[in-house]
Amino acid sequence: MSEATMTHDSKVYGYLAEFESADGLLAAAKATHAEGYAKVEAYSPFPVHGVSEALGFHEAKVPWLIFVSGVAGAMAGIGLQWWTGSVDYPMNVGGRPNFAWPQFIPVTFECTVLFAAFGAVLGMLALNGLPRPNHPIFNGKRFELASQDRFFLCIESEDPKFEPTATRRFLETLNAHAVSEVRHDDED
Amino acid sequence: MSHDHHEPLPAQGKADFGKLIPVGGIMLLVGGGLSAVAYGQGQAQFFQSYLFGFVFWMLLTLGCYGLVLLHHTVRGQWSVPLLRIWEAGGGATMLITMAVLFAPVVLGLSEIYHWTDKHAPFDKLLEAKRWWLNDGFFILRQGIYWFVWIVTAWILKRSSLREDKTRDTNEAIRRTNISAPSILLFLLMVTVCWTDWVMSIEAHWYSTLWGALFMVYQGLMGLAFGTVVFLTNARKEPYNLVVNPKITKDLGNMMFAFTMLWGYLTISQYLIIYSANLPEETTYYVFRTDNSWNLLGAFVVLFSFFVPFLLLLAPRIKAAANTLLLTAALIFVVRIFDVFWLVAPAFHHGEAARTTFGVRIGDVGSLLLVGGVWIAVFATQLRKANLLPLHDPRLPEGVPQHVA
Amino acid sequence: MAPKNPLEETFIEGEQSYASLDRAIGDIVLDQKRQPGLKWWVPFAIGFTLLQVMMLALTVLVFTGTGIWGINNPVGWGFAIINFVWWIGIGHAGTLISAILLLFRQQWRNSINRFAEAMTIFAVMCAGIFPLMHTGRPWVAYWLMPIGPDTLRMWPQFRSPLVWDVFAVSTYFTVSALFWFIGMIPDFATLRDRATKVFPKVAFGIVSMGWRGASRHWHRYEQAYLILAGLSTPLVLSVHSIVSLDFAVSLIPGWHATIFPPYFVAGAVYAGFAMVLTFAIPVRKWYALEHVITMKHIEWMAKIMLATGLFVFYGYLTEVFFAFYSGVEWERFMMMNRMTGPYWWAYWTLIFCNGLVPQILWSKKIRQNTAILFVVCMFVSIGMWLERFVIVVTSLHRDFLPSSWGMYFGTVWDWGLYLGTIGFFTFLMFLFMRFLPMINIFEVKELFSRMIGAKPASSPAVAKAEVGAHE
Repeated sequence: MSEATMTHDSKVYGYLAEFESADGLLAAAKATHAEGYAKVEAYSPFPVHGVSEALGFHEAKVPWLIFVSGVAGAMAGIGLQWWTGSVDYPMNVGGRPNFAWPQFIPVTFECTVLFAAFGAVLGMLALNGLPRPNHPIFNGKRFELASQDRFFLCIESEDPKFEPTATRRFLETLNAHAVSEVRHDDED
Repeated sequence: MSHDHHEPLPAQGKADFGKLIPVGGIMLLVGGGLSAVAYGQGQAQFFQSYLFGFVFWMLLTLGCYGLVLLHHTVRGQWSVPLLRIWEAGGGATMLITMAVLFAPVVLGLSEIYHWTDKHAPFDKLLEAKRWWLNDGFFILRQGIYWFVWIVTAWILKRSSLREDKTRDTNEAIRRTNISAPSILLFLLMVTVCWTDWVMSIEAHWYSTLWGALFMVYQGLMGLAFGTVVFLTNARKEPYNLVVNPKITKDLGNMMFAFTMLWGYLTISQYLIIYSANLPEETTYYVFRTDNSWNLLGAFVVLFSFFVPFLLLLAPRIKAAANTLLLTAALIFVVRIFDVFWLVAPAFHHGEAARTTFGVRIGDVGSLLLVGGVWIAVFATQLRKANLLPLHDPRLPEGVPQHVA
Repeated sequence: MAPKNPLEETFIEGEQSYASLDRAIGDIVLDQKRQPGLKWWVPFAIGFTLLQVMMLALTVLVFTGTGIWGINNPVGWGFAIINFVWWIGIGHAGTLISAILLLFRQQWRNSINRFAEAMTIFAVMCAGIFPLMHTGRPWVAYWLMPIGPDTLRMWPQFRSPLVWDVFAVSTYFTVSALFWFIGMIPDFATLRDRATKVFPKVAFGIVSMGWRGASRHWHRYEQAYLILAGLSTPLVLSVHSIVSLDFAVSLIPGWHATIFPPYFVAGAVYAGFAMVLTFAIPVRKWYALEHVITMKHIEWMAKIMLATGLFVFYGYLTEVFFAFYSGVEWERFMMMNRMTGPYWWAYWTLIFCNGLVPQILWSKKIRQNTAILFVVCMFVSIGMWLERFVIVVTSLHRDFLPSSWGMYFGTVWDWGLYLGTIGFFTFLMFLFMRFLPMINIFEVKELFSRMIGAKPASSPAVAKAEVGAHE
């Protein structure tokens, strides 16, 4: 607990505060943001409503990505049916027009959903930088509980306002269960 | 997600529906005048146009009635503030009014439905349909429909008003027990009544999807109308106490769902009939895409599906009362064109089984005539009871004290 | 360490309970001693045995050809299509439970969605076998895909509903699998962190993709997951609608009906909920999950079964009404033939199973009696199979030309393949229950966190932030 280094150590990833409740995390996130820290991340076993917003994160790229993928899917679907049926290999089937748009709706719809779903999944993973099996935060003390029943808040050393002693002291005022240092290299 | 508490909007006076009564009166006068002109031009035209006005307002009436049943069956929170609006629009008094307004359809039966013509040249299909499509059975069925609707609506409304006074929560259970089976009966009757009123205009034609399609028309109209009435008075008491982003979002989502269903059922029916291309079926769509009718159809599809779909997809539009009000108003107004496209082409037969596009003076007249009566009755009914069901446990806390 | 918050007392219960949820759900997977022993092995063994029947039936089919089936002229679509529609339908409840209930913020979804999604995927796998084999030459099934230039210089015929079906089912399978997988990533992370043995730790480490529960990740994750649910809902409607269009766009009386799309969708949900209950009722007991899959869930599912069952019954009634209303000779003949022809037993059994038996679900007592409910679900599964049998067989066996009328019955290979897919499904479901978290851990925890109430902790810094926010 008291092994905190007083000098700025480039091997320090950040300081990690552990909380026992979702509300403790939310309150701490608000306080940290109000204090002016920018490179902060909260970790929780389930999505805690309002935490990302409390940290000043309001991104809405995923919905737009999905919308664009869906439109692309619709174009691809209708384009495929138009080109194969009207341009590349026109064929008279039951006297229906080559471009029988009512009959092209089902496949167009399916293509829209398929593309949008891939946009959602791949877009979310890409923006999150996943898969990434290793990350300095996993070196954090008791961090394996972040996927179980504990809530963590980490102020990263890259934060312009980061200053080992002050940051640590600040975290300790947040009703944290414990505060510890996270290092880039795993020393355990 | 979390149980947000919303501060009520400041009240700007009480919601007053009394001023709707003169509006109804004016509509009735103008509509009556136009209809009289239409009658002068020809009886057939008058009765055929009258059916359009009747169908439009009857869809709304049954929409309100059906939503009351739905509300009592699923006991959702989102529909509590609209309950009294629907009870006024689909209650016993309104249903009796519509039954009276149905009289011209009965009087003009032979002008509207060609299956009534007993002297027509032999028609094998019509002969086979005689068991269902004959004057006597037709009239008898109408009696059954209105009897069931009026009785159930009356019982439910009475129970709801009694709860306001006695605070007896058993009333809600009683209403659920009546509503759940009534929905079933309603679905069956909607299937046959709209078969009678609209499908049998083109007596050779039939579509088994008809009942489900009309359930969606009704639901969409009742939802959009209720939302419009509710949100135009968003800043008036007592509605200001219950208008919040959650409820507008829920209403928006319901309209979104019904808009999707509208698109889904409309394209399903079209695609199946288009693909099979059977002569007795395709005529329905041939009439509706002939001459300029297809432009009206395209307009209806654009503004019944694509525009509301994109609008209601946006969370921001659903979160604010003003934007949702405009969307609901759009959905409601487009229904006029939708119903016109559904009903009118059947009467506009020109030469060689083609239709001619046109709006007759009686079409506008009947819409205003029936609508004037409807709105006046609606306003009177709404003024009779508290605008919110006071002791409904699903109302936000604190509302009854403010109102009572 | 921060001073002890007086409110923490309440959270000690909570803390224990997050962990107890982990133990209840996650450790079933990690600790094989927690598996219910014979109660797992016996159904698994039955499934595995029937799976061998499927393999045999498929092997003989591939070496001999579809002649071993009962299909003939005029009934060219036999068991293969019946079973295909039956299985696809069963899958639909899974997607609906997950997607629609997520959209409507129904919290009771949380404990059954994973289970139901798994069912969807396995049911679609079973379904896919039938049309694939019915093509006769499954080894060139890739011709169904638009990859024309390299194979035949030809393209699929996009005006045919059978091609729509290829797109619908493959999209459905892909999107369901994506939805399922995305939903499991955070739970994989939990299992990775709880695992003590090397193999599960590495395996769950790989599939969890390094999930670390960062708030920005959750933010995007929730956006993607919710929209995926929004996409899945119309997708479900479209899939069974397109399956119904295989029949409805044709000219055959009994098939060509505009009610088919919504009627098929309702039937699918109906059968699907019956299948979810068929598995959920025994499993919650064997795995001691009664406090997660509660009676409230069971009752809700019974109510949805009743509602969809009533719509399906309405579909039967409209078919009868419009057959007679239409005045069309062939429609009337078809309906009379269904009710009084050689397959009258199938029609009336179907009405009994699907139309009458579920009416007892109006009673709350019966909805809460799992034994009776289980039996009702069996009736519904049989009834929904018979519905497809009636639609396929009775519409075809007496067509427009009396000289070509005939009868259709499944052969031993038809039955073998059908029972075999039931085995395949059971086999996969029990594997899933053993090796994957069958309940969504993180959503149950989220629900739990809201149940234990939200009381803000207070400390000097927090108070300062709150003051700042008010200024």
